[in-house]
Amino acid sequence: MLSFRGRVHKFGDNIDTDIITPGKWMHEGMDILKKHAFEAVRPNFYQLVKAGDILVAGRNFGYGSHREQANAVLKSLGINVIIADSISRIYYRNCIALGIPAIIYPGISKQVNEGDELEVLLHTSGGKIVRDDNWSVAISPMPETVFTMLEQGGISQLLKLYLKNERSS
Amino acid sequence: MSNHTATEKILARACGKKEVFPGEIITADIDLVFAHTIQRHYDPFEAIGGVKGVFDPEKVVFGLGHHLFSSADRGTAKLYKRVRDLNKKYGVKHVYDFGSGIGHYLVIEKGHVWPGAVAVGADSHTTAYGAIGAFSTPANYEVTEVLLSGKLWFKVPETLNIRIEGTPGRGVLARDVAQHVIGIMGQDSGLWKTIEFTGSYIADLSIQQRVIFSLLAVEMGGMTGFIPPDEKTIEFARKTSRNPNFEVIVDDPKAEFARIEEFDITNLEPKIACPFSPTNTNNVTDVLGKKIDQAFIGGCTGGGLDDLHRAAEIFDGRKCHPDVRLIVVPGTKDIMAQAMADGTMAILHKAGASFYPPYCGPCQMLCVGHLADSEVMIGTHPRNWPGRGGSEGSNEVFLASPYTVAASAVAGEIVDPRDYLKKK
Repeated sequence: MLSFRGRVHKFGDNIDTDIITPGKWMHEGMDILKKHAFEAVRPNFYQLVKAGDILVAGRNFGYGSHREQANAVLKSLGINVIIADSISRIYYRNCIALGIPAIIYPGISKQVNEGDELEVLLHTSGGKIVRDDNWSVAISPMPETVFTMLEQGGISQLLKLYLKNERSS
Repeated sequence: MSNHTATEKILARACGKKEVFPGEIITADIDLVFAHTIQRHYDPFEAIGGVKGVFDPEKVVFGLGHHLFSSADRGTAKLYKRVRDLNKKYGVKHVYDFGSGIGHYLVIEKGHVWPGAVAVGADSHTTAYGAIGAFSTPANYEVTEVLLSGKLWFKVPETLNIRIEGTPGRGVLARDVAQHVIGIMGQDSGLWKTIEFTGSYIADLSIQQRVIFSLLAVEMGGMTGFIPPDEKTIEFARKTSRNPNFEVIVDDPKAEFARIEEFDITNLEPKIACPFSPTNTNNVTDVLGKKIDQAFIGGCTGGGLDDLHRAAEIFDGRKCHPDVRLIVVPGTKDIMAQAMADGTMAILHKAGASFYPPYCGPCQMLCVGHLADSEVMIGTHPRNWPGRGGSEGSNEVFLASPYTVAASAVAGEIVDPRDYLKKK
């Protein structure tokens, strides 16, 4: 079981990777890039976010150019989990590969509000999202492949394991 | 058992199962991995340590010349020297270096994919190889993993079937039709789905024109842009494929599609994507008279031989407008050689074109061709998001067929290409 607890930062539909990590700052390194994350829609987001916070968004989160910096920046900002009505496929895959739990729950953006405190539980047998006022929703079981990758903290850890096994076999 | 889509059947073969169903998570053997920004994958190799080489040198293609046709500065020269050294260290054989062309065209032209193959690439337009009946889809950070293991997990996608019927009038090309379809469908209509193009219009297209549809599938959010292989595909693959034993996989007669959309394009007008999204499709006649500073024939949706021929048809006996910079970038060296041999390049040269060696061209301004603030460009390339024009401001970039781009380059402003076509 993976569990997370944090405060919600809520965004709208079609938040593309140029909004998350503006192209202009892409090559300046993560310390500078993170100060510009989401600035087109929420200036100074890096000052508003605390380690452990949760990002909630509408439809098609992570649409656009497929840069993994747009995933890595969330980790760097301290965001632990993303929940959205829908998530662009490559953005989702990059999240999992980097060990960032990403949850697709259609309608979530209508059900939780900015600042809500949520608890998120993930498991291969199913999970749930719970709010302090006892509101909760069930989420689908997480596929074994995806869960293992998240548990290990992303593919680079898995690759180390894979190479170790290869060498010893 | 006779109701599976081609996607389900290809993925079942690749994961060694009798059948798979949409929503199921599988781990598939990969027949081709494509990447262009190789250092992003070598850095983790170096960090992990002890990596001997890629899983199968025959199944790895690096397109070093995809974004650049030359080192842009000393920094990139140094970077690419390192990448070339590491290619040797990790046993990568198929490297297409500066000047070779656009990776997606090369992968198809040089037979690195075939009908029924499973291909992944660290580029969003890796949906392209669906045009020859492969299941081909973008992966990004994960390509590092595939390079070592030769495997990747997938959620088996549902299939959205787009059926296109009819014959459009003169002056309306494959790009216009594709532009129309992605405009109507919208940017997230294909999210997590295979987009499968069928119908008599698609059947009549050449392989190269089909690539335009497969490539633009990603602008609808599609996982791949699949076109069922037919006689044309098989003939093409017999000539090019490095795997002579490819298996042609098509839909079962009663395949279950998640959604079917039908288009009749008989009376379609020439189309154009306006700023700032590739799916912001309008009729060319809605934006007539818009002044342009740069016109570009090239990119993965407009650098094919057919595209160069169409541009030359308009430019024959005409000059590019003196206020317009005309850039022509053939998709690959072979395409360029053919266009030189058949006189196309001479016509474009006379019209005033500047030629750059085969690569992506000024689609993302990663090498040359930058615009100044407020300058306007029209091109045959796939994307026009804010910031892709090169300046810090948001340059207006319009996307259209080679007919429309060429005619607009002659006029100095956006025009209806039908007024520039010779009477038949």
